[in-house]
Amino acid sequence: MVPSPDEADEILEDSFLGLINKPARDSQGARGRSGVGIETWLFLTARRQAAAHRRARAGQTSDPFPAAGRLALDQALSWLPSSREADLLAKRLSLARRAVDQMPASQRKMLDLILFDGLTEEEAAAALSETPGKVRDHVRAAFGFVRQRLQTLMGTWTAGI
Amino acid sequence: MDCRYLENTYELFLLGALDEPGAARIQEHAASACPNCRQGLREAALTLFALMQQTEPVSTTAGQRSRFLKKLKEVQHDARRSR
Repeated sequence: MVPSPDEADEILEDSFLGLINKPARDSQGARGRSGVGIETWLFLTARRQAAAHRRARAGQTSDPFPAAGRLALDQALSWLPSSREADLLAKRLSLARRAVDQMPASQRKMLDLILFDGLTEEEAAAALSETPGKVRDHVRAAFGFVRQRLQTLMGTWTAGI
Repeated sequence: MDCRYLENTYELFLLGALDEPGAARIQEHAASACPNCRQGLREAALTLFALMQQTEPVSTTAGQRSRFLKKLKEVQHDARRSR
């Protein structure tokens, strides 16, 4: 997502320091869910910062959805996986990896652009010379595919937790 | 409120990659204790956690750890001074 490992290091360091500086009342949700919540929150934060960094280097608007991004990070604390859910998933991680590997290649490529390159659906469409509508459909189908495979893998994951 | 149309957007919402009107709709539903949206958000968070696990862990070097600890001490020092 960013051109050099040094820049990636710096973004990750700032994300960790952001968690330390976060007021206790705000980070209670993450801390209450052990290291798992913190790990997920750090991923979301670092990903967002790296995407903003990449856009700034390219001379673009730093964040296409600033209000939505802030809202999502604040809200994310409430929905982070609990330790129990993460433990359950960890025990079945190789099966989870296999489930993701079964995703159609075209969906996987688009999902990776959104998830790990920090692109918006419109940016991914431009990068792949596809229509935004097609990318939107594929990306949403890809998330649905993974979610459904995980549900099967973990049984009724929310009913039992 | 019928929110079936939001079903495949919860992951994008948590990533901050959903447009502002879409994010506002999820926020409105979740705030009104919509059970579908709350369930959808929990499942989306676990889906993202599972997808995160697809990447290979990277080990840190002694230099990286040392640089981070130095930054951490500076942040703690600044926090103490501002109290």
